[in-house]
Amino acid sequence: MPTKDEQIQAALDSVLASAPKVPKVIETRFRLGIDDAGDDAIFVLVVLDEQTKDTEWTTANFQPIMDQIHEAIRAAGLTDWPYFRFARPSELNRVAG
Amino acid sequence: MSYVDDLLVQAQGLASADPKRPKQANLRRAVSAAYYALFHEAVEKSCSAMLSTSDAGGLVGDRLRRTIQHATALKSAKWFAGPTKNLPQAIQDMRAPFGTPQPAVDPSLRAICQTFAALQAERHRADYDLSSPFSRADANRQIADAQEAIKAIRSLQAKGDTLIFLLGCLFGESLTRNHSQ
Repeated sequence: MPTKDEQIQAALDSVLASAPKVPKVIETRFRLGIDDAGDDAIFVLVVLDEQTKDTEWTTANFQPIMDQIHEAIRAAGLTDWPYFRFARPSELNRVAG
Repeated sequence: MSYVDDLLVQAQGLASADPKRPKQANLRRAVSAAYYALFHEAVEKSCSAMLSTSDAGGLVGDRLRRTIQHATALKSAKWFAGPTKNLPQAIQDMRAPFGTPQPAVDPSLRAICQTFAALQAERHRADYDLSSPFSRADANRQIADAQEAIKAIRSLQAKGDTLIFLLGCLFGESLTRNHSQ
């Protein structure tokens, strides 16, 4: 029986394999937590290709990725709500300015 | 201009400040302002749906506005942002008689609710998680989403699912308690 973490990782991996080409997803990470409503939540970090343009940084472009991940999580039988952050690799650990 | 519109203008100004190297303080305040613009639009819509125009603009409205909590509004948004089969039974029974198929959620309301849930989480990140930086592109994306959602809320009539969403903003989970069929 896979653990919850393993189920989520498998869902994210399945999406990574079939994600749209633009914007290009290069990695996904997650952590479990509680949202402001007090419900279980999955905080997903979607790392996009460094060359992703600002003009491509729109929810319309990201929505298919979010929908696929949300659907994969639901298909795994999990009801945790996923919250998404999108970032380029260079934006992951930038010092606050 | 309304307070909500002023917040959006403020958010845009903050996100476009510092042309060469945006300051995290400005980007974070921009995202926070964008969320609060959407939150206050939902608050206003909830009050105007419940009260007469004169009461909504008076002392009763002032009090009602202060009762709306971020957590209850999030709970309500999540009801309509996800699949209808995940709706609490009490909410399902407000939408259709027991045993009959659940109607689809208006895509416009669904998008509003998805934006609300996402933006509230981003507001938390912006205000509290300094280890997680924002880019200008991401701040602009949140502002654009808030603008779109506010425009959509204004276009919806307070009836059906929209009314339930607004009631949910006010009452949260208590809307689903003491339910029997």
